[in-house]
Formats: sequence, C-alpha cells, structure tokens
Amino acid sequence: MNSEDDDMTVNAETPTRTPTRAGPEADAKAATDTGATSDLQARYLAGVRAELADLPPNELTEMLDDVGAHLSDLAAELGPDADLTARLGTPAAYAAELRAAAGYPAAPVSRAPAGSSMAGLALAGLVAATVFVTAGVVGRSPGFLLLGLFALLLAVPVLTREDRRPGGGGPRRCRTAAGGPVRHRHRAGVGVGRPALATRPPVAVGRGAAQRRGGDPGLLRDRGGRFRVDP
Amino acid sequence: VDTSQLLKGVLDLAVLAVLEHADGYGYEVVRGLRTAGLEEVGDASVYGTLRRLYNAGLLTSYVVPSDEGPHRKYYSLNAPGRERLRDTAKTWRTFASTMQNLVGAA
Repeated sequence: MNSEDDDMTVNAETPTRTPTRAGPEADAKAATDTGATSDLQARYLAGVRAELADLPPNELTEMLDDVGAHLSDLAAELGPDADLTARLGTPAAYAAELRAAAGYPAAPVSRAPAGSSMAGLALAGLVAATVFVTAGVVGRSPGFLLLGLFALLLAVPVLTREDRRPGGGGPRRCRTAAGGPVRHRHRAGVGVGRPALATRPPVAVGRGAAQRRGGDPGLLRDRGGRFRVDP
Repeated sequence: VDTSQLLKGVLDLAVLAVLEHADGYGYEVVRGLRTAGLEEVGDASVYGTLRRLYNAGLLTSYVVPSDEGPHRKYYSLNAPGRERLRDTAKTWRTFASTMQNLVGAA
C-alpha cells in the first residue's frame, strides 16, 4: 500500500478521457480543476461520474471536483501508479459510499415506470375519498367522512407531484436546481405516496442501510475492514 | 464490536471536531481522522460527509491555488457549524457517560 515513490508526479499533460455524462462544461471543469490527470485517475473518476450521473449537474460537478482532488492527493501520497481500487474499492463502491455519506438518494435502478402505479394510487385515493365522503354525508357518519378526507390527503400530493415530473419512469434526479441543499428538498418530499424516495432517509451516516439498493453489495465488502456508511 | 458500526453515528461529529482544530481540504480531514485513531474511516465517507455538512450550511469552503497538483478546496466551520459541534458534542458526552455507566463494570 505504501509506495516509496511519494514525490508529486501528477502528469499535467495527459489529457483526461472522461465520458461526457454531465455535459462538456462539467467535464472540462473536472479535468482542469481537479488535477485528476493521470490515466488511472481519469478512468477512476469517470467510473465514479457514471455512477453519480443522476445527480443535479451542479452538485455532480462539485462532488467530482472533490473526488478528483482526492485522487490526486492519493497519487501524491502513494505514487501515481498506485492501485486506486485496492485503496478505495471500485469506482462503484466509492460512489455508493459517497452517495450514502452525502445523503444523496440511492442510485436509480431500472424498474417499471413509477408513473403508472403512482397515477393508479392517486386515482384509487380519489375514488375512495369520494365514496367515503358520500357515505359519510349520507349516513351522517363522521368516521366515514374522516376516512374520505384521509384518502383525499393521500391522493392529492401524489397527483400534484405527478404533474411536476416530466417523464414518469426516467432517471430520478435530486431536485436542486442550483445545487442547493439536497437533503432538505428530499426531506420536504417525504410524504405519502412516493415509496421509492419517501422511505429513504435523507441523511446517510448511521442510517445508510435503507439507502442502499440496486448496487452490488458484494463490491462493498471488497475493502476489508474499512469503514463505509453502507451496510 | 465492529468499530465501523460505531463510527457511523459519530462521523459528523468527528469531522466537525477535526475542522474545529483547523480548516482543511478533504484529504487533510481524512488524515486528521486517521491520525486521531479512526483508522477504519472510509475516504469516500469523509468526502461525502463534508459535502453534506456543506450543503447543510454548517461549513464554508474556499479555494487555495496550489503550485503542485490541483487547487485545494478548504472546508471551514462557520457559526452554525460550531453550534452543531457544541450540540453534538454535548449529546455525545451524555451518551458516552450513559454507556460507560452501563458497561463500566463489564
């Protein structure tokens, strides 16, 4: 692990080859600002970027900026040819750990479009609300009336949220337009009717367990003994 | 007990405490934690935690140009961060002393 070669030999000439997932600006910024300029670093960084592609562009840029600096610092300490994966785990594992600790929502996984089931839930809620309220009014039963209101409460947020989402089943994004506090938005989003996001704790450390899904848990165990936020 | 399990709950506090000593860039914080004896802390967990604390408004950051290698993004505790540190440290002390009382005889 400890290389004798600890002089700073980050090659500034080597161009980075990172696939553009977050737009060319972000890429250029990551390449020039982070100094993650060796091939190994660039490849690792690209791997992490691919795993975090669902983050808002600003947040992604900032985070990758930090990651790039991290890789450079490691290269300075361990030598430019150091095996980053031995030290940090795979890019996927690194990204998962980062995601959990940063409180980002778990990576999107392909699944049945959420839109249809959500719409169904909302519709069922509205129907139930109508039925219960009618029954409550007709039968002068406050219990039914309450049930109806409850169903309405359940259905309306789902409906309004559906309106704001452009494409039902696409990759989920954190809703921070300007790279603002991601956690708060998601906390605000915790409500009825959106299980995928709502059940996820917005802040990861110590509560990471529920956040992980989709990734390969096996990867996380590769780094024997090292602390990670995920289970 | 797996120390990493215990670490999960206190990493925020540990990071805030390191930054109270001195501003630091990501890798400095990692090293600070390791030097303090938290050797099991994962690099990415520290970077993610810094980012989250920053997004929560508890840290500020500034960039220092560097001749060799990349620029340095330093993180620094701000007033809310210090307050959070104090609060969390208090909670920690209470918790630690409770646990100590509980397991002290073991």
